[in-house]
Amino acid sequence: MKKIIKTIIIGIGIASMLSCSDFLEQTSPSEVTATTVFNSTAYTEQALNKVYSGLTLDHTYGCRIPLNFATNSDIELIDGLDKDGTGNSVAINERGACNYNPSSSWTKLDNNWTECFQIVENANIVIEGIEGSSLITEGNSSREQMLRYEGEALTIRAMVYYDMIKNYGDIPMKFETTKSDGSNIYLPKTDRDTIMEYLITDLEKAIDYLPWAGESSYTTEHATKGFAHGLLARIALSYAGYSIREESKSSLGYETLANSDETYPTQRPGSDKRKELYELALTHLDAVIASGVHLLNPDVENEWYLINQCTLDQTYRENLFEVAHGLNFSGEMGYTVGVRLTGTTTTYGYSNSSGKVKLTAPFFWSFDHNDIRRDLTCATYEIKPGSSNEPIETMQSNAPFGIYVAKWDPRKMSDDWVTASKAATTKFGYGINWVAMRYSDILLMYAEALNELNGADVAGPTCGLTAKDALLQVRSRAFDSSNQTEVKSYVNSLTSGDDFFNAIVNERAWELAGEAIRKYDLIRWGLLETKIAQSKEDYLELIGEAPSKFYYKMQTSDVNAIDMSSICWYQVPDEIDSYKSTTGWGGENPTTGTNIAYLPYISWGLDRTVKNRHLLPIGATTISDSNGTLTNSYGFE
Amino acid sequence: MHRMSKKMKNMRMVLFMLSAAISLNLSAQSITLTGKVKDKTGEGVIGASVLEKGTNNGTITDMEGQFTLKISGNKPLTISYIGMKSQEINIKGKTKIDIVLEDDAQALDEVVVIGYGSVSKKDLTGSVASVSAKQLESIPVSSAAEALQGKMAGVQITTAEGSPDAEIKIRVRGGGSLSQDNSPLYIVDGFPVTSISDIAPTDIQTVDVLKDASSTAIYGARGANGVIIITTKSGKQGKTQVNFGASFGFRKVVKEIGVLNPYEYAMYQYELDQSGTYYGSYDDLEIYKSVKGTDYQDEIFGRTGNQQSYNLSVSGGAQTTKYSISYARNDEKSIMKGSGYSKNNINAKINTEINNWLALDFNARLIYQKIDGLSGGADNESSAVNSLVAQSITYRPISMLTEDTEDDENTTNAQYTPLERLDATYKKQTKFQQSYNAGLNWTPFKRWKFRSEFGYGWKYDNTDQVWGYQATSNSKFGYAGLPQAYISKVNNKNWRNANTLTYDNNKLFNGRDKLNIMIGQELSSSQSTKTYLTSVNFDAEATINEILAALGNGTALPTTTYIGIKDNLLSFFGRANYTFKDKYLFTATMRADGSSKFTSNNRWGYFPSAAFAWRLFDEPFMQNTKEWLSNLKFRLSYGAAGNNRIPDGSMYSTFSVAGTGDKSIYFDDAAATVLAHGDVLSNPDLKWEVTIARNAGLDFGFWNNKLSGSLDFYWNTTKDLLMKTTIASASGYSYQYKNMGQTSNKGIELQLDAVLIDKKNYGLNINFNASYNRGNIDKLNGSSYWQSSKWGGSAAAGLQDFLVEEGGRLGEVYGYKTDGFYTANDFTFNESAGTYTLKDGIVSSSSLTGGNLYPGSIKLKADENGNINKVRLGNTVAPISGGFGINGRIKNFDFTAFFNYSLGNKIVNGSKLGSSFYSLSSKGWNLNDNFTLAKRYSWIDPTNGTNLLSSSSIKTLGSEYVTSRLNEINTNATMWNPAGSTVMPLIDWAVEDGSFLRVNNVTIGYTIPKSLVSKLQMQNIRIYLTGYNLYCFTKYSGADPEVDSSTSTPMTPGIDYSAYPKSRSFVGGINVTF
Repeated sequence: MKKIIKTIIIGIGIASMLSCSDFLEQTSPSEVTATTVFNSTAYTEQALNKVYSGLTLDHTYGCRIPLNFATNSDIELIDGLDKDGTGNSVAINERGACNYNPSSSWTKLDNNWTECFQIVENANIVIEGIEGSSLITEGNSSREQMLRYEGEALTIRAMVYYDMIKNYGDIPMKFETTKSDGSNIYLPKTDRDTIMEYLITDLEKAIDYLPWAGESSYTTEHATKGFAHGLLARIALSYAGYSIREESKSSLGYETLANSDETYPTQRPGSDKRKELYELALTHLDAVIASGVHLLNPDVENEWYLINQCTLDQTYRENLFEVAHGLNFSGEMGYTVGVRLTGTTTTYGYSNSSGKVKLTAPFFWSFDHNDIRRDLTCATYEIKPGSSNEPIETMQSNAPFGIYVAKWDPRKMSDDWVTASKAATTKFGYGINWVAMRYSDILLMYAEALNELNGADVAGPTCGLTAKDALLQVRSRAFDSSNQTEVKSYVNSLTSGDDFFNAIVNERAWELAGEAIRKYDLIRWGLLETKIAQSKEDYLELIGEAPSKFYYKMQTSDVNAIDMSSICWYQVPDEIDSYKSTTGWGGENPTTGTNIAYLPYISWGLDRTVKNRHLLPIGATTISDSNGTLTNSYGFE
Repeated sequence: MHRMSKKMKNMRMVLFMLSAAISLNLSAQSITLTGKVKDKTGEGVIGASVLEKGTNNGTITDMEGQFTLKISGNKPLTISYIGMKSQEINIKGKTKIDIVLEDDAQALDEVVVIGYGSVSKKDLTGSVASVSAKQLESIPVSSAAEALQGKMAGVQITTAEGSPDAEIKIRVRGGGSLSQDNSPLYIVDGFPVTSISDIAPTDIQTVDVLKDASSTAIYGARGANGVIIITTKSGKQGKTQVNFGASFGFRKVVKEIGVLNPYEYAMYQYELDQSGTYYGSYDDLEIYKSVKGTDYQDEIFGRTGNQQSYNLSVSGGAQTTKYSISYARNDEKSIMKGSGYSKNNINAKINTEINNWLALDFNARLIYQKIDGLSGGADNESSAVNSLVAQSITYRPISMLTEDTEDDENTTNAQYTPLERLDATYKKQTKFQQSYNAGLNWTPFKRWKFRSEFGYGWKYDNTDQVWGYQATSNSKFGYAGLPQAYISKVNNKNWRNANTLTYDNNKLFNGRDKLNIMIGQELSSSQSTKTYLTSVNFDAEATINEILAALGNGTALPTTTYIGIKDNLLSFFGRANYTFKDKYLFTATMRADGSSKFTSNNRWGYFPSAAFAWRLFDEPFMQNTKEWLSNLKFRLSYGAAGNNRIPDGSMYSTFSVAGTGDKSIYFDDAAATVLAHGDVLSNPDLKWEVTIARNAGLDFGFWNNKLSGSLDFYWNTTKDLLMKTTIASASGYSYQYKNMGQTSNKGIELQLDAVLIDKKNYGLNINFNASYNRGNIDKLNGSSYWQSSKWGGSAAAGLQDFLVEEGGRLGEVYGYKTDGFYTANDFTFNESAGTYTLKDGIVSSSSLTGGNLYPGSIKLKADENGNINKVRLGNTVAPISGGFGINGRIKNFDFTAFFNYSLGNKIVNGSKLGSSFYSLSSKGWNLNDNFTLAKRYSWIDPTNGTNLLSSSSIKTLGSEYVTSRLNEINTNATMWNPAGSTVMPLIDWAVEDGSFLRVNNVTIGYTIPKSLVSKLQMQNIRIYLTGYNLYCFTKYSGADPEVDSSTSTPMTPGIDYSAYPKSRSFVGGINVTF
């Protein structure tokens, strides 16, 4: 009996000994650890792809950041007008938010916050992973590649962080991976300027690591040196500019904008700091220009055609960075912004696009009559299905706040898009890349910074351009060769300082309308309120000047297409009978007109409770999940 | 391992005697005695032992209870049968006798399975609830869980939805965990399984539920939430027995949600938009009175379902080998269009005694099932608001004159009717499961038994889904609304090996004491592999069959595979039972578990327990109570059990290739390969969650056990809760598993059985059970956490409606009290501007209800300071639940009625709330019938259709007229106007009392008289008719009070929104034994 017991016990013992050590250590063959990932360039690239893939979501760069959060400005606004302040302008959706009446219970705020911080965390993982990798030791053949990956992660993280600061102001600062012990999970807000300092340092490092576009088979769908330079400059200018503050920073030498809120003043850094930041911006903008890697596409129409075609411009590389959306998968460029399709047509298929981002008539009116960009930017028409569903371009009847952004246009979109759209039965990803930065932005920022520091006629440090040269490059592209003399004299007539600055303010509107830039420009310039108010006055002025009817013709080659050149915007034509007509902006009654009633409620939340409250609140769920470390400021609940 | 049935045990004994009898036949016998052993109802007792006292001469009774035995005639006969009182009879020359055996009233020698062994009920120290085959066999049910509903005190079984594959929630004593699965451990024939819903109820011999630590601790790691042990039927020695059963039934939806009729609906639409664009001008709306409209609830759930089931079992065996094999098939056509299932079960068992010290048993279970159709509201990849069930209530009954093309959130999904979407949706789940278990019993010496078990299980679970273009909003893949197909294949393989050594001595100190010691060791391992195939972009008009037939016609997305982490467990355990003087019972157990889910520092958990029981009844001082008392036992236990139910690999951060449902980055317009981590932050410090269970109980019997039962008090404390906590989103993660907090459950359970009448031709029994459980959150890091049920998607999200806090309970629901609605008198009308504003001093609810305030907007109650506060509206977890049953027989008729109940909980009626505000009942969406024109506030003048609130009305009609007219037309209004609030917080109106008493089932059966049956060469024929879910007594206004449709988090129980409706059914059937 003893023997048997012994045998059994020994048996059990052996079975357990054999199993104990390995039996309880289990991993999935389908999963790899961080150590494995970051000691392989292939895996590291895939982990970096995760950082990028966060950019294609609806709540990040698919729609929210570029299309919903970036309005209203003086020239752009959200659709859905409100004539008594009880509807769209206060709605708990993007319409309320764009009219500066956002509510923390708009859940898309939480979605955006969460998804942005996921990108940040994924970037943190890649950055820390690479820094701890054995592949970056000096002399390792993969070192350069790994550092390029790190540069990309640093740049994307900076872009996302900056875009969050733009929209929420002060936010938690988290440039390390989340620790499982919870020590850095519940972070309070950090002053945005501190974060921007950090981003600038990061980008300087990234610039060292990154190749220029075109080198090492990098396209502008990846972060490259040029974009890192440009982004750094953009952040520096923003840092130097105004924004509403959690509390006054006057004691630190900050300057307060006139007519700002007492509790939440709108302030910018003092002149010394500003100078430093402008110089910093200038250095980096100058580097991009001097590199010659990025140029303006001489044909501005072609620049946008290529974007609509989903064709990367590898010749001029005017776009410094694009978020690579995929057809059928992601991206609302062309859908939420762009020439509107109001129903299924034989040519464009399903495509009931929304065209939610709109431009204003005063903006249209502000263009030089010969500016090519006017019709390339403003679509005063939409495409409707005819009786047999053929697409008919239909002029808008007095919709001064309903002009679509013509930069995205189904008529320019690719055959693949048309095929997809014809097959589609519901909304689908348009696949058009979001262009985060164009070279014209670089030139105009350069001109702005240089004018601020040295005036409009002094050449920059290495590229040799003066501020006027830079402005001229942008503006001259927008005009036919026959109008170049006028363009030159316009630029030359500008004097350094305010005069030139105002020209930059205008040029940036004409050049960059609809590209999620204007609102943030106005904020940093401290011009958001005044320019929005101005645009409403401009409208009242406009209805006194504009014809009450617009006369136009359809094309002879295509009776369903408007002959854009035939539209009589500024006067009534002589042979009125050969024209079709529609109600023009001049038809509005200045006291009882429908559009007049809308005016007070456009952007009406900006000064409603707190002056110049241009930021979004933090979402309610985000706050409740923060264990009390986050609260809303600026009077938001 | 296996419960030894009374008969089996008996047979073993008889086996020996039989062989002895054969040998004794050689000696000369003088008398041939024939006789019949009957029970007091006159039925023959099969397998009773008949033994000539003091000899080995004996036999057992046959199927009729008859026996023949040659005896010497001078010794008395002993007739015995387990569960009945033995009798001694003097033959005195008789050659024919009839014996009536009395039931042994104590019946305490029933054997209960307690994990790695069994114990007679008499010697049990723990709290165990049991249901026997006898209780199950009279009523046909489609699942084991359904059969158990309400039958056992402290075991709460909830069927949350009516769908064929609805998950049945089983909770033993409340469950300790807050955020985790609280389901008990299921053991079928010794084999741990994930669900018992696929076991054929006809195969079940017994169900034992281990409730306290004395019995669960032996399952250590996994026993914290109770253990449900199912033993399937085994073969018996004797003539081959064939059982056949068949049943057929119908089912029909019980209750639909009331909605507005087409005319009322059109009137509401007019209220939203007076342009007449969608349903015509006001004067024309009358025509909708004659329009029937489409009742989508009826279209989708209105059909009469049916069910049929067949089972066949063959069992039998010789002395050394017994077998049982059964086949069961169930088919159901469910009430939802396109939904139903079929299920095939095979269960085979064989055991054989190789010699008198070695025995082998083998058991195979095979289950094959197919489930068609959607599983109701939860079956939606996007949100419950979008689900067919939710929309079948709110979808417009009549189509618009002009279909809207405006782009707004959700409108793209609304373009197809729920019926179109249903028809365009295909879902088929195919599951095949096989498990094999072999055991070797070795008795090397007297009183020693070594048992080694090896089990192997393999299953696959395939789901084929196709979404036609009308249904793509149900799919998680975007892709331009073109048809999509998704095939998932999940494979699981698992094995276990358990070795136990038992020493059993019931003759200690000359039979005064008994000792049973068991030690053992167990290894188990389980691993899943998953494969997902996705194909999108099929031609819009492609039919489901075409898509299934040629997946290649679509665009294939990368195939995703995942090889899971092995979930391994290594355990050592031991148990000692000591019975002192047959009155004092002691049990001690110890188990150590090592789990692969924790890092090496926290891997091992130790779970001890101790229990004591005192058979008071057998004390000498209780002698004089014997008149009325027939049993009294006191039980006490204390012990620990663990829980490691967290996903594998929660302690390490790892990366894997992202699935096709996630967006990628499209460099050069092609999806890049993405290596991603999950949204759950790892935590290497995770350790075992431990439940300390304390139990005190009393088993009692009165009047010869005519009334018997048990009463238990328990107090369970769960420490180091494994919680899936929501963490700040700035971390880049949504959740983290943490050991955090402590909960406790205290409760009382009462189980009563009464034999009211027990005569030959009629009898009546009742049984009753009740349990009271109160949970408490003892510790929670000193803080409270708001939870959002998000019952209605984004329109109601962001509004935190459940509070989990220290000192509180699970299911605390918070919201706002309603205070009627605003009236015209609350507003100042500005005639020149045509506007109206709330008067000063009147509190505005608009920050919570969104948008603008109108006369007729819902008004939330404010306190004296004018603040609208969120207040507690109740608790959604029922403290009291149970059931009771009556069964009786009159001659050959039998009947049973069974009721179950639940008391004291609230339900959030999301179906009602979901169509009571603008966001979910805007243009094109219908309202529930709480908002008929007669009930709701309206701003339309019924005489001419004027919107009194329009600015032109105010300008032209004037303030005074508008106010008085609004007051006039709304004199009888009792409800707010849903159009007056954009969003809706949770309000007291939607939080209803969820108490109920359900007539769960009623059965009438008829057993064909034996005389008739035996002519057909059969043993037994019974026919029956059963009605299920016949009636539910409740104040709850929704479809059914037994509901829990929030699946996103267990922290927000008791939500009723878009649940698959329940049905009522009638089933008739026949059972035949050959």
